[in-house]
Amino acid sequence: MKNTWWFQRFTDYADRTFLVEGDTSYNYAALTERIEAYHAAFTESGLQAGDVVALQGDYTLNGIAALFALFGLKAIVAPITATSPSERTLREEAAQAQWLVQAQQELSIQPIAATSAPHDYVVRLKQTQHPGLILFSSGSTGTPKAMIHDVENLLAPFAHKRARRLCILIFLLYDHIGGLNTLFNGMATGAKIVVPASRDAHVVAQAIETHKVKLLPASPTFLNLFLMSGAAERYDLSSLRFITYGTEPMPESLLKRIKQQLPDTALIQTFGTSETGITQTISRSSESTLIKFDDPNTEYKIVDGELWMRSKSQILGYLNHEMSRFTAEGWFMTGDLVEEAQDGFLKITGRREELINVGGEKVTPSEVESVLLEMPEVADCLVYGEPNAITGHNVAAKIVPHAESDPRKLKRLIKQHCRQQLSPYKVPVRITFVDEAIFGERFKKLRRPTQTN
Amino acid sequence: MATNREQVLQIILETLHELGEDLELPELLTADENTRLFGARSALDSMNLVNFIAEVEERVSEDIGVDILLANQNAMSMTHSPFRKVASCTDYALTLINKEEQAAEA
Repeated sequence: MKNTWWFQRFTDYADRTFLVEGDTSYNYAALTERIEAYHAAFTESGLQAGDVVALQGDYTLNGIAALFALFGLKAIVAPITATSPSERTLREEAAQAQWLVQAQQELSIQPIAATSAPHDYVVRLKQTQHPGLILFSSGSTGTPKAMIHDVENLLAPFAHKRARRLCILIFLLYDHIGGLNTLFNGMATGAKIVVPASRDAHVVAQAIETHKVKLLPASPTFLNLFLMSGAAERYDLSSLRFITYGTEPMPESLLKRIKQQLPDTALIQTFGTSETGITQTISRSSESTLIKFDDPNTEYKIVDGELWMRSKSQILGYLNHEMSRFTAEGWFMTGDLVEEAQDGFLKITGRREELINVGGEKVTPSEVESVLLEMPEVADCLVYGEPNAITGHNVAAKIVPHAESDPRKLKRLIKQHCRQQLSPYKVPVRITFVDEAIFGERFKKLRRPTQTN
Repeated sequence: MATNREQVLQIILETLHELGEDLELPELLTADENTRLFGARSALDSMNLVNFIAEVEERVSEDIGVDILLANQNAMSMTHSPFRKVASCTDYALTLINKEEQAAEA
């Protein structure tokens, strides 16, 4: 383990601050020390290279040290953050885990009786002596798809990163490709990583002020909440140089509001999938949702409006699902719909399965949401398709209003606003007012997929 | 007590007047029982018909307290579409409402 590039890198950064966890901070020397201690504990328990480990943890010193100690052992790690026992069991089973490691507080290591022979991909990783990472598809119900990465490939792009002095705030989840990518990038460059005590907008803003955070990776849904909360006015966010956003389309109107509120912060779009990893991109400007892929490890093409990708860091395959979204040539059909702009720039407009077919005309929820969010009366919204006997489907919207108002009047006002900005078939036919959250724990809109009949 | 035809007609006409204002369709402002809704020489195109129907369904639900589905497969396959005129639409909506009301009483 000590001869891996990442362990050497962490050793070089010894005196730098690594992690701020609530009120406690640790330097990189504390990290390497903890990784070594855990590595020894795992070895002593009999955990070996190629073993599949379900890892319950979080972005804490223990959680991160356990992850890297397992990588160092060439184990195959399935990070799990689900809190319900049934969801955890589903994931442990999908991964065919042989060990359960808990690294939230005290380290606990327990063997799990194997129910079946190891999967071919697991055998292959064991033979090549490469560590592995198992991630799960999010969002859908039922058994999550378990996908397996070769960690050597996944970490390779970070090996050439140079040291920087960056302070990054992480609140994305521990089992998510975007969160892990931010973590790996930060650690490769010797960054200080700040983990806020909670994901509440005010707590996040206070952490930015206190620790002079420079980079905030977030989802558009979170950024909308952040603006709504008034946290940006209450705290000094002048240290914030970059906000990166991704995981769902950014409404143009929201991007504009963020820029107004934080004029000195660069707003950069990121792009990635659990299957192909995060791809380096260039945003045309802070005011633009246009991006260009600029990554030597990734190829892309657009087929019938859908983005297809092929990357050096893509998954070996799924453990419990067929490779139907990969072509024989290794292209991954992302399901993301894109429009081509000039000079090789692209605009990501939405997910293929979320596209609403209104009498043959296609509507992407994000363009309607962007128009709705222009209205001061609308705090948040969610656009989806519902079956309609005349047009097959129609556009529907759930709206979180800013203040109490007469629903009938507000509905009329919203439709009037939409009619001015959108083609008639894109105007929401049905509008319902909700006050509960319309996003999940990943701060990503929970869109009900349009039903096909 | 069963909903009467007058109540339903009023909901439909109010909806049409409002749509007339919002969509700038003057013929809807003077709509009455004989106004043609959908088909040749009618006031509404298909998207506006969809909006009209959704609005009537919502108002029936809010004002009368009964949930109906005006645009259903049955209505679509009827030889004489209930959406040709305001009068036929009113009759059709009333039938659906009364059916729901009877079901609730039984």
